Amino acid sequence: MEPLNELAFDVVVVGTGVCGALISHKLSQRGVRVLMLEAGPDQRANRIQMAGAYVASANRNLSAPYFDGIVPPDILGPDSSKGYYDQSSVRSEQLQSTFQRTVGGSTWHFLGNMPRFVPSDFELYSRYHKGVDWPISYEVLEPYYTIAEKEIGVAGDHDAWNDYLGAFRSKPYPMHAIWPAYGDKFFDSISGRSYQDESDGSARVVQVLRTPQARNSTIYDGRPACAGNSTCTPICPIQAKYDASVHIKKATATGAHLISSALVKKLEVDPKTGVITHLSVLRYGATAESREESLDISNKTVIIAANAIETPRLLLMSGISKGGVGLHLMDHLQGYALAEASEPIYPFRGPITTSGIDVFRDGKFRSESAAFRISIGNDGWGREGSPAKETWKLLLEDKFGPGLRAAVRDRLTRMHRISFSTEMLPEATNRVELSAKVDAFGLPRPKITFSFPDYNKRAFLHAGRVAEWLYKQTGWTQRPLDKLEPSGAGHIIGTTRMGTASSNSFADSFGAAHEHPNLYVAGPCLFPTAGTANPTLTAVALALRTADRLLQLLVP
Amino acid sequence: MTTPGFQYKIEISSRSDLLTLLNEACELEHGLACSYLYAAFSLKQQLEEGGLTWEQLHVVRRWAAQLYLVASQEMFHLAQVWNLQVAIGGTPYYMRPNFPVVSKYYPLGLGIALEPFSRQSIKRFIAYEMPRGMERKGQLGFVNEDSLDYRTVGELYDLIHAGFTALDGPDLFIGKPALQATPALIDFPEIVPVTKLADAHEAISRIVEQGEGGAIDHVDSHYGIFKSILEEYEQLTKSAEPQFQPVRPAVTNPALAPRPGYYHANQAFITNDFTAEVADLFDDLYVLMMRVLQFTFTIDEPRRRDLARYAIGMMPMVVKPLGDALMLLPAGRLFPGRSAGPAFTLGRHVPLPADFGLAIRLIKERSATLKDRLSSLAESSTALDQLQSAARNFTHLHDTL
Amino acid sequence: MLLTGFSIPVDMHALNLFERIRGGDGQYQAVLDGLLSDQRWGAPLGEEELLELLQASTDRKLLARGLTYLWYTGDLLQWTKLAHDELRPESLLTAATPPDFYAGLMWQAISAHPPALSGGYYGHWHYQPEN
Repeated sequence: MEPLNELAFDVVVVGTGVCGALISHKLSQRGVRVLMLEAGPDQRANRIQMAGAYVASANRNLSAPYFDGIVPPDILGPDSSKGYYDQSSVRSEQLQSTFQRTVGGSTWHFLGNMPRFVPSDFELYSRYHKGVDWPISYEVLEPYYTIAEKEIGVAGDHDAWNDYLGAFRSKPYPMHAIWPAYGDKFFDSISGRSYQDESDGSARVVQVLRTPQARNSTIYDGRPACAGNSTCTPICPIQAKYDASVHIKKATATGAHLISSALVKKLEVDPKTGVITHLSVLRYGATAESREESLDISNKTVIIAANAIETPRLLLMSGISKGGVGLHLMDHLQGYALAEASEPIYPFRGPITTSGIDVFRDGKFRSESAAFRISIGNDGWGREGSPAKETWKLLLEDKFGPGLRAAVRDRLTRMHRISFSTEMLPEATNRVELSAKVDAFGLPRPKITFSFPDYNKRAFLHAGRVAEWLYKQTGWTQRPLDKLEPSGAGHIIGTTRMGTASSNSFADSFGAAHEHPNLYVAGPCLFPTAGTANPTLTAVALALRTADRLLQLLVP
Repeated sequence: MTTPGFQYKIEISSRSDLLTLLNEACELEHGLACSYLYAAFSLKQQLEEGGLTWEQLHVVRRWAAQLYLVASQEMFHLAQVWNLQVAIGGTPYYMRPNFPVVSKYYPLGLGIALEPFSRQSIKRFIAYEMPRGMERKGQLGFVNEDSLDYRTVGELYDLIHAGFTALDGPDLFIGKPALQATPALIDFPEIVPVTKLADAHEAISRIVEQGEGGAIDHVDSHYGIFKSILEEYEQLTKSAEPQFQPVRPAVTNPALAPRPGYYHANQAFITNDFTAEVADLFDDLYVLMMRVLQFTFTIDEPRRRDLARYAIGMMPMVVKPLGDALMLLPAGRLFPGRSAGPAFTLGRHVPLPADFGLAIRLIKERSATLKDRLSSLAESSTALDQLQSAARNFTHLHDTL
Repeated sequence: MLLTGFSIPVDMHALNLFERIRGGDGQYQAVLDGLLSDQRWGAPLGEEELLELLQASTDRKLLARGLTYLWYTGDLLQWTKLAHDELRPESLLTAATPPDFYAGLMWQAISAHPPALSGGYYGHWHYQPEN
C-alpha cells in the first residue's frame, strides 16, 4: 500500500459513485490532479462472475452479486449487512432504500431510469406552498442535463419529451429510445385518452411515454446495445446499462488516482477558518492489516460524494452539523397495482420497465398530495410474485406434468404491474443521526428516523385510482390489494441540502459548503425537495455544474 | 494488379449512374446482413450444446447479440437506401446474387459467404467495414488495394455522397415525398425521409457512421464491434481449454437443389429431407418478407403501416427462430455430423404489382400457403421449440393481414 | 415429462441434478432409495403406473414436488419445507449453480429466458417470443 500522502493531488473525491466519478473525470481531463477514495472494494473485473454469483445466491437480492464473503458486510452496505441502519422495526417507519459501496457505487444496481425533473419540481413552494424552492431553476440546470445525458448515454425520445410539462430540451438524446416491451402496446393503445382527475377537478391527457434510460439502444461509448439480460437490477452482465465504472476508467486514464478499500472516517476541521485540514482514512485489505492514515488536505479541495446516508454520517462523525446535516431525509415512496392480462404479454424479457406515464408529476393537487410518476412494468408482479414463487404455489396445488407446464405458462405470461413513485416533502423529523450502536469498524451506525407522511398516503389513494382506471381501459382483471404499504425506490435524497444561506441549508447550489471553504458535497443529498423523477440524472447535472465551478477556480 | 479490361465508372454523371450505384449498395447491405445473420445463427446458445462453460456462454451470447444488432442495422441501411432511391425516382431494389458471392463480383475484392462464426469470417466482416483511410495492407489477410473505385462499404457511400452532390438541382429529387418511409411507418427509429440534398447527406452519414464509426473514434461501429469480438475470441481460444467450442457444426453456404446458373462448387447441398423442407420454407418466407417490405416503400396507402409491421415482424418472430432451428438440424448424408443453416435463396420472384388490391391478394394468398406449410411442419415435429413458436408467431402475423 | 411437462434428455445436467437430490438431504435420499428399490421400478411402466408409483405415499409426493421444483428453478428446497411452506431464502437447501439456474424449465415454460443471461439481441422483447 502506497501511503496516501505520497500521492500528488489537488482534489480528493470521497466516494466513486456516479457523481464522484464524473467530477473526477471532468477535473482530471483538464489536468487537475484527482485522488478518488472509495470505501468499498474494486470488483470491476468480475462482471460475469458477479452475474453468476447473483443467480447462485439464496436470496437473489440487490447485493447478491457484490457479496463475496470476504469484504466485511458493513463495508458493502445495508443489503449485505442486516441491521446496518439503526431504525424502527415497524415497516412503514423504515427507510427501505439502500445503496452499494463498491467502485462505481449504486449505479451498478440501479434501474437506470433517466427522466429529468420538470420546472415545477424546482419551485414547489412558490407554486404550491409545499416544501421549499431550489436555489436554481430548471433553466439553469438545462445545459447540464444535456451534458449528463451524453456522458451517461441516455436513450430517449426527444420529440415526445421536449416541452412536456414545461421542460424544454435544447439538445436531442444521444440515442433513440429503447424499444418498448411487448406488453406496453396495450397501454400505447390507450395513450391520449382523457382522465377526469377528481383530485383537482381537471381533465388530464394520459400520455404513455418511453422512459428515458441509461441503457444503450445501439453500441455507445464502447459498450454494447442492451440484449435483454433482464437483470438491470442488480447487475447488467454486459454493461449495456451505464454504471459509474465507465467514468472511473476515463478518470484514471487521464491520470486520476483511484484507491479502493479506503474508508474515510473523519474530517479534521480548523475551528477558526472552517477549512478541512486532514482526512482520517482507514485502509483495509483482505490479507493486509488495516491501517489508518491521516491525509493532509489543508490547501486542497475535498468533495464528499458518498450518498445521502454516508455523507451526513461522515460529517456528523466529524462534528459538522450546522446547516441541517442529516435532516430532510427523503425517498420516493412506491406503491403498485397488479393485474392479470387478458392474453399473454410475455414479461421477464428485456428491461424491467420501458414506458411510463408522467402527467401526474405536476398539478394543482400538489398543494394537498404528492405528485407521482407511473412505471409500466415488464417484470410480472415485480416483488410481489417472482416466477419461482408462482411456480411453487402451483406445485402446492399438486400440479405436475403438462398440466403444470400449461398452468405456469398461463399464469406467468399474463402477470402485470403498474407502480407509482410519490415525491416526499422535506421534513426535519425524517433524518439521519449517529447511533449508539457501532459497526464492524467501531464507527457509529446511521440512526434513521422515517415516516409515511399523509401527503404521500393521499398520493397513494390518488395513484391507486389512476391505476384502477388504467387497468379498466385495458380490460384486464386487477388484483385487489390488501395493504397500503410503501416500499422504497432506492432514491435516498436530502440530508445536506443546498440553499441560499447556512440558516436554511448546508451548501450553495454548486455544492460548496457554506461554512467550509474547501469542502464540496455532491449527489442527491443536495436536493432541497425530492422531485418527481428518478434522481440520478439531476444529481449528475448538478455534479457537472460543480465540476465546472471547480474548473473555473482551479484551472487558470 | 487490376483485372484486365475492368474499368469502373467512378464519376457519377447521371441519375441512372446514381441509381445503379444505389442498387449496388442495396445488394451489398442485404448480402452483408445475411452473412452476419448466418454467423450469429451459428453460435451456440445453450450449455447443453456442449463446448462452453457458463462463463463462456455469457460471452458467446453477447457476441451473437452484437451480430444480430449489426445485421438489423444492415437491414436498416437497406431501407434507408430505398428511401434514397425513391427520392430520386428510382425503385427500391431487393435482389442480390445468391451465396457464395465471388470476390470479383464487387470492387470490394471480397467474397460474401454464409459461413459459420470463425476467425476467418470475423476478419472478413472487419474488412468490409474498415474505416476509410485506414492502412489496410497486410492486415487481416485481405488486400484489395488495387480496386479502381471502392474497397470498403464506406468508400462506396463516398461515391454515392459525391453523386448526390454533383447531380443536385431542381430535377434530382423528383420522387413523391409521401412515399418516404419514416420512423412512424417502420421499426427503424433512425430512418431519414429524403426530399432534398441535406437529407440525403444526413442519411448517408448515418449509415457510414454506424458501419465504421466517427472520424476520430471507430469504437462505436460495426467495425469496432467486430474488432472487439475478434480480440475476445483470440483471447479465449488462447487461454481457454481446447474444450472451448462456441460454434455449431454448420456447413458453409448451404443450398437446396442445384439450379442452373446458380451452381457453385462451394455450395453445400442439404440432403436430409426434413431439413430441406424447413430450409425451403425458410427461403420462401424470407422472399415473401423481402417482397412485402419492398412493396411498402412503393405505395402511398394507409395500410402500408400494417404491411411494414407484417414484414418487419417476420424477422424476429419467424426468420430468426427458423434460422436457429436449421442450425440444429442435420445437413444430411453428404455432411456427416454437420448441421445445416438457412440458404437465403432468392428465386425469380419479381416485385409485387403496383396495383394495391392485386398486391394484397397475392400477399394474402402466399402468406396463407406458407402459414399452412409451417404449421404442418411444426405439427409433424414437436422436438424443436423454434419451429413451434415460428408457426405460432407466423399464424398471428398472417391474421393481421 | 411426467413431472415437469417437458421431455428431458438424460445428460450431464440431469445427472448433476440427480446427484444434488441424492447428496442433498437425508430425507431426500431415503425416499429416493425407497422409490428406486420398489420392485415395480425399473420395469417398463406406462405413464399412469409411474404416476401411481410417485403418488404412493406422502413422502413420494413431496419428493416429486421437490424434484419438479428443482427442474423448474435449479433450487433445491429443504425437505421440511416441501409440505406447504411459503417460499423464503431460508427454505433453500442449496441454491442453483449458474448452469442449473440457466437450465431451469420455468423460463422455457413462459417463453422467457433465465435472468442475467441474454434473451437474444437488442429489441427482441418488443415482439412475440421466439421460444
